[in-house]
Amino acid sequence: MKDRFPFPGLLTLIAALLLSLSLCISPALAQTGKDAYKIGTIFSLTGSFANVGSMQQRAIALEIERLNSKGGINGQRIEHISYDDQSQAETAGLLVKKLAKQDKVSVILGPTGAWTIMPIKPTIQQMKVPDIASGAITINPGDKYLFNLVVGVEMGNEVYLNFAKQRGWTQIVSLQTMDDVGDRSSAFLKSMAPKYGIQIVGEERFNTQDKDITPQLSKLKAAKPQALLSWCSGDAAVLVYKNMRQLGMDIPYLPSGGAASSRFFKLIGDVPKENLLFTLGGKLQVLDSIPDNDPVKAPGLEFRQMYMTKFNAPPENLEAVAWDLTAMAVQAMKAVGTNPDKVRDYLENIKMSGLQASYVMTPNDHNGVDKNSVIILMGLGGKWQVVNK
Amino acid sequence: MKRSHLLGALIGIAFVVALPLFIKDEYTLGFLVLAGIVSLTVTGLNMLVGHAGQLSLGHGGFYALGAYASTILTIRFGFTPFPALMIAAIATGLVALLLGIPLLKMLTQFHLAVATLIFVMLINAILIVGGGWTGGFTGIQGQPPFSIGSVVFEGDTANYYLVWGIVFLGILFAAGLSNSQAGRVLRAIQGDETGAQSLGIDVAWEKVKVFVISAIYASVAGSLLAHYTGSVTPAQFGVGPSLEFMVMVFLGGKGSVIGGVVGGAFIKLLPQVTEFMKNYRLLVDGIILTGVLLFVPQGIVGLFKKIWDRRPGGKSPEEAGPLSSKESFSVALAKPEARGE
Amino acid sequence: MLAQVLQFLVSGLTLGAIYALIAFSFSLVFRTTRIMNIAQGEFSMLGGMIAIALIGLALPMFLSVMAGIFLVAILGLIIERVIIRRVRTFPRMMIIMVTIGLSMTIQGFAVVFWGQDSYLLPHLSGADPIQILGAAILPQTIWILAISGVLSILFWFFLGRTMIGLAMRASAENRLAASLVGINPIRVVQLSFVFGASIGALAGVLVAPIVFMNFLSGVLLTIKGIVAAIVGGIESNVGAVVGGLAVGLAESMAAGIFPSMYKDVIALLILLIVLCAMPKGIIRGSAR
Repeated sequence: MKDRFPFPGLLTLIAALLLSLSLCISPALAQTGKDAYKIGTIFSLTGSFANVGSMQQRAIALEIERLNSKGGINGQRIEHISYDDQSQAETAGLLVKKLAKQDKVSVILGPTGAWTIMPIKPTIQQMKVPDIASGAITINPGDKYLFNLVVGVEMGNEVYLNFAKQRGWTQIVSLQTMDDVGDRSSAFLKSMAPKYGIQIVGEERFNTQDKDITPQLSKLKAAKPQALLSWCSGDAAVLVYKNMRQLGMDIPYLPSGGAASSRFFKLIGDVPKENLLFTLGGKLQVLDSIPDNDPVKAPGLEFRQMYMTKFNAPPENLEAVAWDLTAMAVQAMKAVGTNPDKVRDYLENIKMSGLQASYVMTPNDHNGVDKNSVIILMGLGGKWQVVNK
Repeated sequence: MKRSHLLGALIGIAFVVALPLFIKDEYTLGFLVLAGIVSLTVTGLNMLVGHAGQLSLGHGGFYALGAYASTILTIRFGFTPFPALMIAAIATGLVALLLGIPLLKMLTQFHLAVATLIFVMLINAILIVGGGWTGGFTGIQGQPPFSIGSVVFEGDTANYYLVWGIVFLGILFAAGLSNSQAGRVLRAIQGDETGAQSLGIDVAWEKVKVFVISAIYASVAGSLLAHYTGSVTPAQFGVGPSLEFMVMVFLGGKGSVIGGVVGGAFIKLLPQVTEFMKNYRLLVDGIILTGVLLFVPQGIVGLFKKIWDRRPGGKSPEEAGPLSSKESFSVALAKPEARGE
Repeated sequence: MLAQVLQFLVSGLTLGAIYALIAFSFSLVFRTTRIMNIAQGEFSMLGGMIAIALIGLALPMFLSVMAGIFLVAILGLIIERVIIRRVRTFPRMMIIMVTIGLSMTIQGFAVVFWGQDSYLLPHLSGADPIQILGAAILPQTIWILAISGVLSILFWFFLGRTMIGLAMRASAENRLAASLVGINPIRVVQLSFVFGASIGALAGVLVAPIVFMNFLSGVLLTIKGIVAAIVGGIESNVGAVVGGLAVGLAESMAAGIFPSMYKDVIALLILLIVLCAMPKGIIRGSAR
């Protein structure tokens, strides 16, 4: 089947393709005017990261719906433009451009995960729209437009080390994932543990795709540790727990905050006794007992109610982060309007009490999580309960 | 070269060149840049698949090598992008050579497919554990924009012209190869390897040559990607993208010179169009793909060719090509060894 | 120390047995139809997912598992009729691509029915590990090993000694000649696919308690299974099992002996080298 130069029929095809392409991608939506409050979201709704992304996206959608039912911002509706990055960084990058230039949003929420956020950092800077993301990334001074609300790797591990010290666990092991998060977690623990009087007697790494972590775990078991720290979540966290049970490692297991979900219990069954499983939590888990004058209490309770009714499951850490992303964006737009640069400036100095944690942002700290607002949860039976410090 | 072909080529070029004058938004242009980069890889792959008839499920590996090599050379060693791209291409070519020699002696398409699959998985694994050199899971960000000498290609419009210019060159080369003695040799190999061997063609060596060339295409594309997006991560270069390239080859039209562009554009465009389907997207993609492969195996280009050839005036004798598909396959059916099984 | 090495061995055998089953079903289809079915892992995924769904509907374990395998077998039949028959005359490459498309379509269905979440099946006989010399072995592993072994022997017998089995191999060898001596090649392919799908589903059901099942599980299993089949020697009866165990052991030993970071790189490198050096696989076929 040889082919010299493309012949006319084919060219027409290409022309038609490109034309329809530009037409279907170009804005066909009626612009509701520059002053419309528009929030754009980019999450993985399909693809390998979809179980996290879709949960967060629907939580945001619900919260915006709730706010709109109460009059939106200053009486005006909030428009939610939601896109799916299909678990691909390249698509996420394109979507940032779309939201910024075609849909002209004031702020972007998402994506989740360092592996999607890191590659699009340059694009976010170029497009000049503030992006509040949900992933454990380090934000450098140059990343003026990027914010991140997830409790960082270092902060989370610090909370754990503190807890370990309180409990008198002086010899622990670390099982980290083979990615950026794992690298940082591993490095942090190695350097900070001694300051808490704790010794890391063993360290192993594993791939989140692994089906069986018993080789690594049996090496760790041989070091006779008192606790195991592993900054992972999702299926990987479940697998570690199961393999630990398999090997008879009845020591406390501390995965990352992302692991805290009721889905976790569905997959591991009931936790038979105390002090086997811990994780991080925030205000969401203690909503009923916080003081009434905490600004997050009323909206938080309402959100929780709506979420339970609509999805038949309680919101958890992932949804708490998503709620905080929304609340922060809304607070900013309420204060300064729709101009992306003004929103960015406001976000840089924002103070907010959220469901995952409380935040105090500064130009040098685009994460702003207040360590003291992070709490420890213990898994027992089929639920998470609060551990009193 | 026929008049109509020349005219067609000119119209195509004019269209591509003029497009950014009408469409200026970064999103669409950005999309077209990415589509172009992918088309480049697939055009190269198409030479291997379409002309030489060999399967490679691992071209993502060469794509990765180009991207990461360019990145490391420019960021870590301070090379300027153009020399870095050349060096990366040569390095990738060498890897393809080393790999190609044992692989292409493989017994069957099947073995080759598996071996190339292992290859891309290996590259992916190396990228993830590369730590200091490859940035692990989150890769490396901060590549400078591509430049040749003092001409810097920054921004979507500049990169659009850069990428599509190179795609054009790539297509020219592929067309040239296809029409040359080398191209005929490759098609002879695809039709009947034993027969070709008996004519004195060094089958293995010819296959390796095409393998290397297609790898270089992928490498160049990878380098362009790195400089344009300013980031490389292992996830962009795994089994998924490799399989996607193969799909693009077949969708566009195996063996057709322009097939790479058509297939690439189509596959990139598809998710944009079906995005609203959310949960159903994967299903629809799968059905479309299977459907096209089953009912239009010659790809979109092949389909148009058939329609074009049916018009009054029809084919000229040169267009009939070597052994028609049906004939080669009945030969193959009778002698499985001849096809290298 | 011994306990640790033993644990690595167990882990390797567990993984290996799973890969062996997939490799087996893959090799069966290949040897009798010369078709490389990239969608093979999807049969396993479906078998597992259907069983999980049925158990969720409060069906007893045994029934759910059987139903899962049965339904997938029927699917194999349908796929053969609708797709495979059509692509029979296509070039090898195209067939491979069609199976890739098929794989995507099946995954697409899985997403529509079960979403993108992961699920687990309950163990066949309890989840408590048995302690042997300091290493923990799951009863499920023993099931998997046992069933793989039995299947191997059964099929060795079937393909080597029974009329039908020989007919299937003959048909794969030379379709025209086989039909001339009265073998119906179409039936052969049908039977082959049904077997392949069933064994695939069986593998999925056996593996589902240990490995998370979600719409993407099939892909991983396919890749490992194919690699195992090739490395073990696709022409041989025992090759699939050997290959599967080899791949599984390579992975777990690599994790155990080397810093676990490099496990994948080492395992893949070994596989690539083995493949280049011994393309016919570790066990060369007895016939051809």
